[in-house]
Amino acid sequence: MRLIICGAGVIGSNLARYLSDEGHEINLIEQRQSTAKKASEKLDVRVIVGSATEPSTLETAGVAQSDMVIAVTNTDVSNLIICSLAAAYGAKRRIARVRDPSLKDLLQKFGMAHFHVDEIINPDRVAAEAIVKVMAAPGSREVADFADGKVLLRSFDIHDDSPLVNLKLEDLKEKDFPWPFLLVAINRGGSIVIPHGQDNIETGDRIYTLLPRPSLAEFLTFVHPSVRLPRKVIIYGATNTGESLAMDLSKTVPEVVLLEENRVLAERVAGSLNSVTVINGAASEADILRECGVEASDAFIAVSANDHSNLISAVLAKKLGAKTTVITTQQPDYEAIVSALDINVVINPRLLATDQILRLVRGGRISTVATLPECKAEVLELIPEPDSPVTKKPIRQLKFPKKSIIGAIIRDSEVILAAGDTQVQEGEQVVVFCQEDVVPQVQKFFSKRKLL
Amino acid sequence: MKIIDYLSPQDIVPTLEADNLEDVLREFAQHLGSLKKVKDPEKLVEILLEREKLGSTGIGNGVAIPHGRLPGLDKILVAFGRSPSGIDFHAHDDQPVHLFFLLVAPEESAGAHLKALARISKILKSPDCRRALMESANGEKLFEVISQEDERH
Repeated sequence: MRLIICGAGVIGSNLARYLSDEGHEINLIEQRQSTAKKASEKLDVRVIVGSATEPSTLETAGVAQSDMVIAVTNTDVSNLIICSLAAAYGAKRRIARVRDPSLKDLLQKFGMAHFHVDEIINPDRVAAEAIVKVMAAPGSREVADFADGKVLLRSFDIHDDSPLVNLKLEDLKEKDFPWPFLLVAINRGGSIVIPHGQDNIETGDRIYTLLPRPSLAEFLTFVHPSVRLPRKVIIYGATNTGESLAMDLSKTVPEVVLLEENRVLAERVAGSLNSVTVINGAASEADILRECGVEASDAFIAVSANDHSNLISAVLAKKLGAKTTVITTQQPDYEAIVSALDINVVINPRLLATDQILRLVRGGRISTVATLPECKAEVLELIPEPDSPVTKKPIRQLKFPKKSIIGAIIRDSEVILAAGDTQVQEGEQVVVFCQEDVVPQVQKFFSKRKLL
Repeated sequence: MKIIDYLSPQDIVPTLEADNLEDVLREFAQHLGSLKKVKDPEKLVEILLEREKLGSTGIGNGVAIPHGRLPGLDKILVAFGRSPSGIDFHAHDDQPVHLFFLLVAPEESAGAHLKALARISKILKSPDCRRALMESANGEKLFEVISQEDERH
């Protein structure tokens, strides 16, 4: 496909990298000279310096012949203008990043077609949804849902109090167990193992598990025997993410406190969130955190616009007694620092937004993607074409790429966890875990074209 | 493993009186308390309720396996109870639950815990067994049905 990506920020440059690796023709437009230079050094794509809201820049990028225009600059209004222009030139599909909730409401009210936008992506909303999932699965580090929420991927760090420690995988296999699960990968000290029956689970492992939705609760108790849903949560930052999170969590969590430094903002949200306690103050001050009742909190979630404040307040909250800490961060590079600190979950809204756009671009036969940067892996949901290689033999005989595993299959709306003798059939949804470098190989198994 | 290694006729409640989720769990806990198998029945209720809050143990077809790990326990406890009118247990098939197998395991036993749950689920997979359990006249008959089904597999 011919794709134009507007904006070489975190979303734009990550998209460019993934999609050019998959063989798409990419034109990346970036206004800022320095950002553009960095992008052309790092990426194997054509970078055009200029404003994507200028018709001439779009023409240079070949907008009239493009299959898709992805507007992910840091201004909502520019993104909408880009889509309108691209439509006028005849670009086939258009995706815009829109963060402002009132703009999103407007788009929904008048219809997205009115603005010539096919899909809108809101990183704040995506982040809030991910955090809600984390809260519903205490102990989880990464979360992604597949097959319309029927299959869940959750990762967990294994501590020495987990009943799973030192168990062989085959000891956990019971045909009639009512809440089945499948371990698809273990990150052990930085190297990724696709586990087999003889492998043990060890303290310090991060395990990646595929679960049919009803199995989640049971598996949580295997990770941590005294797991319970959060009763008290403190959210720091009345950002778009913070506000929508407070609203969502207050439906299930008995006590939700929202902490906001800005007095005017704090007063505004206090008026709109009835069952949430809003406190005005700085999260980097121990006294304020104590006032919020941090010592009795199950989770401290820092979603302010400032990465540093999120990090510092989360470390402090943990010290003062918060059981779990979650932060959002805008910079992917931050994750290395974070893993050295005692922070439980890191949510990167832009990377989640990238995943969502990847799904839309890959389209049709790949409907869901989750990228797992820490283990350089992706989880894909694919639908095999008729006569594709994956449908010809049982999984055991497939010579599927190493570093990948077929995890779950949706057959007649039932979830089946894959085993060696399972045979995939055309049209089924199949969830595959694989390392980044074998994604194209995996895709070939699901397409009817011959294997190269 | 076999269920009857852990279940005796006195662990069976042929007619549960409770009419909601929490009361069912309490009725079971008090029953085990009266048999001196559990020291603190309210603690057990709390643990079982916590598990239900994470997600229902209703596995469909009118069956639920409420369970939990109780610190200080030295072996697995199993109990069976039947609710003729059925109880809303938030099972994923939305059907009311009539047949309850309660399982309480020591904290550290992942393997045994898993095997016991699998065993119970296997026995209750048979529609004939479920029907027989619904139709049994009393506790003795219920124990007989469970023992027979346990032997067959």
